Amino acid sequence: MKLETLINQLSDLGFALRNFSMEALPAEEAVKAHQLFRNFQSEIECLFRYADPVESIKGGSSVSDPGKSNQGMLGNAIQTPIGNIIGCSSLLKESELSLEQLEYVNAILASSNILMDLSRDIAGSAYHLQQHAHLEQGHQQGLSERMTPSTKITGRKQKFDLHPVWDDCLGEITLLEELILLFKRNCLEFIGEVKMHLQLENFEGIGFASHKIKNGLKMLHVTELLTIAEQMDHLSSTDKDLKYMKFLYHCFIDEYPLTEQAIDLEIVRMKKKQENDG
Amino acid sequence: MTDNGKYQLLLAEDDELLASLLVYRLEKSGYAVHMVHDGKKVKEYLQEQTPDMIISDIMMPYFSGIELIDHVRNVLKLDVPVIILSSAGNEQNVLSAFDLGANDFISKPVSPSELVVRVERELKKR
Repeated sequence: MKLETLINQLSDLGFALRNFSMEALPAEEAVKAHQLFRNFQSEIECLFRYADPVESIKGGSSVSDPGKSNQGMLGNAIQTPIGNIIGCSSLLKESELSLEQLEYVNAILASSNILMDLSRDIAGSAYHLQQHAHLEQGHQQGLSERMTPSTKITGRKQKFDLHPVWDDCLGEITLLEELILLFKRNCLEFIGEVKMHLQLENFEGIGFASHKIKNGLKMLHVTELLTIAEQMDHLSSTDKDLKYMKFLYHCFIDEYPLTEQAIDLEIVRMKKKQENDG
Repeated sequence: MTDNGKYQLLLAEDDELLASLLVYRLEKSGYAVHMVHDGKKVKEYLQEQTPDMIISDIMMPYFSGIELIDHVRNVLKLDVPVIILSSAGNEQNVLSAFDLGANDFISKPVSPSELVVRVERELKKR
């Protein structure tokens, strides 16, 4: 039901109630009933015109302060007066009324029940919107939390420093890029080699591969991968714990793409800087 | 020495990443560098040519740096200077290399500038 229709129906109901009360009730009771309805009508109009619950939910105020949600506001501000109308109308219905008066009372009751249902629907949808907004907020929060490690890709800060190698390259960015390519290839070869050695439980092979990769990692100052490779190298000559070795291998696999991405970003940044410096 | 008057260096290093960087810096410093990635290739090269200097890693496929020095000094009877590149923790190998006739060693990760200085120093001794 559109708001305009609802407001029009409320006005119609107001006229009908006034006519009815003037005819059927003593003057004092008629004024009371009329006043009660007028208050209800103005509150409804005010709520719908100036405080669209959906909009206010979207605006976030109810999300940030659920205690003052539109659900509660609708419950108290709309449903209470509607309840009063239904109660008064029910009392009226039990009094001695003409057929015409009874029709009016039934019309008031029916309209009030519709309004009550409608207000419950609105309150319900407001509640669902609120819940949805909460979930959405939680989802966004969760996403941002899950994104945190990748900002360590970018996000969780990868520890490496290309500047010493760049200095060794005498500022030749193309050579640096070539070295980075070799570095990536070495890492991928290392991953493949270790996988094979793990299957064969060849700790000597793992030790050799780890020892070899360490130099490239040291060269580029890639701290995380270097730490893992050093542990693998050490483990291959000491404990020879296959389970722990597999764990370290998976750590390397997890860490490598983050490092790779971070290095690529750093290269782009360095190239831009070099272009800007002329 | 090459035809254009450059010192000829043999670089034996299986880590292409490091080798590429070292070749670049050595060539920039005016040396002619022949790069090989395993011990077998070193042997093949030495059968045909005699470089002015050998720069070699210790841990290499097929033929280690230690075996290479032994081959150069005791089989080929060459007096070319040999610089060993070695990772930390290979001290025993470094000592063995010196025993067999290595002239110098540089610990990895190798600083190209340091290598250039050491190469110059060894060649000046000749």
